[in-house]
Amino acid sequence: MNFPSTEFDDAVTAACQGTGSEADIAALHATLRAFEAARDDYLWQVELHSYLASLALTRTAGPTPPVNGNPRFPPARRLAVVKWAVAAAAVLIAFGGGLCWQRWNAPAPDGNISASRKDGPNMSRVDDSKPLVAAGGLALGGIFKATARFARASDAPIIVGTGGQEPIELGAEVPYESRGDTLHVWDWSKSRRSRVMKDVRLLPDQTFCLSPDGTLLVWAKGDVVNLTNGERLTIDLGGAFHIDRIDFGSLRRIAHLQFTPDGRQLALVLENLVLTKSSHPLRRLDLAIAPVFQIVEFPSGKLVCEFPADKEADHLPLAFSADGKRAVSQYYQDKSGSKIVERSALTGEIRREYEPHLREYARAIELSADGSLLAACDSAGDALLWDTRTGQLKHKIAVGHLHGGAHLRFSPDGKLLALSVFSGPSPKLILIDVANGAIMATGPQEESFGDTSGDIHWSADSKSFDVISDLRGIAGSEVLYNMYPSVGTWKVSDLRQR
Amino acid sequence: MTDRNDRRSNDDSQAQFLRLFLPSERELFRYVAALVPNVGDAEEIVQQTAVELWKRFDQYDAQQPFTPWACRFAINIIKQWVASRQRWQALLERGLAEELVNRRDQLRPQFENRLSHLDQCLEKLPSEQRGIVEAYYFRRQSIAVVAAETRRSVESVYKALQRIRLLLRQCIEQAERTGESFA
Repeated sequence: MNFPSTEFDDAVTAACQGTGSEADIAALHATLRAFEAARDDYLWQVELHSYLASLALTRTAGPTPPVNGNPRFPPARRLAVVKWAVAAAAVLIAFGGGLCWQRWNAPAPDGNISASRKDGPNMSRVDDSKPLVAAGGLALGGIFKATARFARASDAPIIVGTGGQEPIELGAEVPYESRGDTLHVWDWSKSRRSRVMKDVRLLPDQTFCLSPDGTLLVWAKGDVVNLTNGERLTIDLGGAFHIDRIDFGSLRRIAHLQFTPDGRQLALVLENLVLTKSSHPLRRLDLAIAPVFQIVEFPSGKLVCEFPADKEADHLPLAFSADGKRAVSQYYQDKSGSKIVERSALTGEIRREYEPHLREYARAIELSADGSLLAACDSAGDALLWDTRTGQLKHKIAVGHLHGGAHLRFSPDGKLLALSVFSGPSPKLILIDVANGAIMATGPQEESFGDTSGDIHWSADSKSFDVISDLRGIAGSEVLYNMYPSVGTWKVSDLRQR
Repeated sequence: MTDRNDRRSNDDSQAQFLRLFLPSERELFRYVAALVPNVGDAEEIVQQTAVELWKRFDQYDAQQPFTPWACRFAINIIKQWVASRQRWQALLERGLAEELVNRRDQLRPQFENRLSHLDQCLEKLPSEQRGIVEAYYFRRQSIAVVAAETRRSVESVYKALQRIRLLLRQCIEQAERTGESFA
């Protein structure tokens, strides 16, 4: 390998991106030994790469925004400076008021450091004021990741998640060192405090889901636990192996798992590997991933039907009708946006393709309780409402360009549609009158540390709804905290008056 | 009571370790990446180093700077990592690894000066390229995810990142030559 040369630059790039062959790496090292100038050039290229990588966000959270189009978030360093400034201001105020602060990990009276924090989840902490915020980026982006994982029941006020051996309150920020894999169950209609199921573990990399009524937890590997009585059973879903480090990521056979609303079927997103004969002279085979949806009976595991899935299907589950017989999903069509397709969930046959296509792609899809209306949130900034009986578009409502995940829920009486979106700099709630497509009210959500918006759970009388923020990630700089889900209740009448 | 005191003492040590480790972490990562540039591999090595540092934390002399102490552990971890990977063996031959870290140490002031122009050069990137930088580097999304979200192929994202780094290097070097100040 000569230096300087394109070959050398390519080899450095391959080393940075982990794509270099044995020969590439060996040749690169031989060149570095041979040319002093090559060492300097290599070190500079690598320094820029590693410096950029070291600027990872100071906080991690759930879904992240797409990266095409205009950047929607400031670079991490600027964000860190802002956070630092805010935290420093908080310190001045705290000291000005003659306040003193507790040591970050001072044990509770019972000596248990895993007790949840007493201050609110959004209060500034003195430890955040230390000029370590910028330095903490790598810790949060790489070494330390939010360890708590959650699932929510679609039709009950139940959340499950992971933690240590002690109960945890919703909204708590629990010191990272107290993390654990033990299962916690919250019924927020009864208590903010979790019930700990000490003999049930939820491990990293496991795919799992909750039944709509929140009584059954199902793992992709086929384990099932009844959360009310601890009873266990199994379902054969074909195995849940995963492969690490495919293009620096991981590949799971079952990328997503969800119940139909009636709890009688499970929908799986399978990342099927497809090997084809390669046309490249140096490759024998090419590897591709062909995602499919499989719908299986629960708990027998018998296959009901199978149909193709969009490659991002694990980020956007199927929208089912209440009886579980119709399923709606999106398919990205490259330059013509995404099409929304309704299928029979019994046969997989297409029943209807809805027009128009979305300008970008759906962040959320939902069918009304009676199945007569379909709503989709286009990341380009529209909420669309179709009549499913005629297929006609009823309303297209501008809600602002969306970042990250969104949630859509029809009220049980079908008159209102609540949207939880991350639009602009913060998460918002939007209430739409289904009859005329007008925005009735908008309101802010609790600020989150990522680009997450909370899921919505309507009350049975359609007069209020809960917003559940369960992807709050990890907080802190000098000391790290897992951030547990928070639940806030909104009355429709209050939102209307805003 | 003894248990509680032990726990408190352990908590104090952890707090002290984190106070020292976190500010050093970025430099430690960059030190490791000079030899093992792939982000995932470098993070894995930093993580192993952190575990080793914590195990040996009682040996740390608080009068000495923490980062050089940590880097000495890191180079040993790197060597263990390389030893288990055939294609990286050449890094350990004839002192190349030591030579690279020593040379990096000499070049650091120059690198820091160059990197002071980075923010301004990032601002000059077209928005789509800036979005890719933010996704891949700042939010640590995998290439596959960036590819899916930008509707590009994985290979195209690799190429885009290579072009972006080249553009940034050219911009930074230009700024350095002209003495442009962005402070």
